[in-house]
Amino acid sequence: MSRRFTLLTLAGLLICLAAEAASAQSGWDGRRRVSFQRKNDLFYNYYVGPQPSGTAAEMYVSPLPVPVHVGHTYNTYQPLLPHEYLHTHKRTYYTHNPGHGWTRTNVRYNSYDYLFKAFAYQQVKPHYYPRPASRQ
Amino acid sequence: MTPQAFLAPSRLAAACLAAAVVFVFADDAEAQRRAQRRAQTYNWHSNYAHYQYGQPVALVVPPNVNMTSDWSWGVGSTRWRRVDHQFGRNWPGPGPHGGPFQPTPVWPQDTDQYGVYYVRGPW
Repeated sequence: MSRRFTLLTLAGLLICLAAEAASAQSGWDGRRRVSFQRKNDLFYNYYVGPQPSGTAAEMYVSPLPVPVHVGHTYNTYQPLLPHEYLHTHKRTYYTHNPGHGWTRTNVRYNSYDYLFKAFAYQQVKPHYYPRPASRQ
Repeated sequence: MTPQAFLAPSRLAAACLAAAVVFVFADDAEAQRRAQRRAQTYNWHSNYAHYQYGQPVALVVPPNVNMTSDWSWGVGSTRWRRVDHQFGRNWPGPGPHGGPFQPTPVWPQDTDQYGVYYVRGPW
């Protein structure tokens, strides 16, 4: 393997890592593969609007808003927030506890499906669709 | 370097692999940025209020949703449009915002008039 090929491969890997970092670091509004926890962040809500000229809405209480006198339900564990179950992803939570260091929590939301989806699709498909005539 | 050496299979394979990975990640991030930019240019709702809440209601959908459809009576009235708006962390400030809104007609002609609009959940 030539030195130039090695350099080319390393350069490609660096570009990939840079693109990955750029896509991951979009702040709170982007995909958060890593989340550094803050205690005052626990009951923060999510909002949409009112730009440019509309009204605003908050996400929780979900799935639909309720009148103020009904009350509010708080979820005390961020990985179990209902909106995390909306799509397949994974995340790592880092929490600093003064005097005790850091804790790390890895959460997968059906992420293993990525690995087995193609295989499972091939296995399941013949049961739902008629087999080609050549296989009968 | 001769063209034959430059187009060696190993180099081509490495270049194609790097280009594919960069395209996948960069394209995804760019699509998100475009959706955010588009979302700033129009409201997440039309001017109709939900009959129970008196204002438009945001229905949370998965963040990887791209498109939705509006149905209506008549030929050519079904539209496909993007779901650009997404819930974020920015507090909109004390309300009320927007309005006044129209009620759903007694005989609705369009699914847009029910006052329920899709908004993507956060990542």
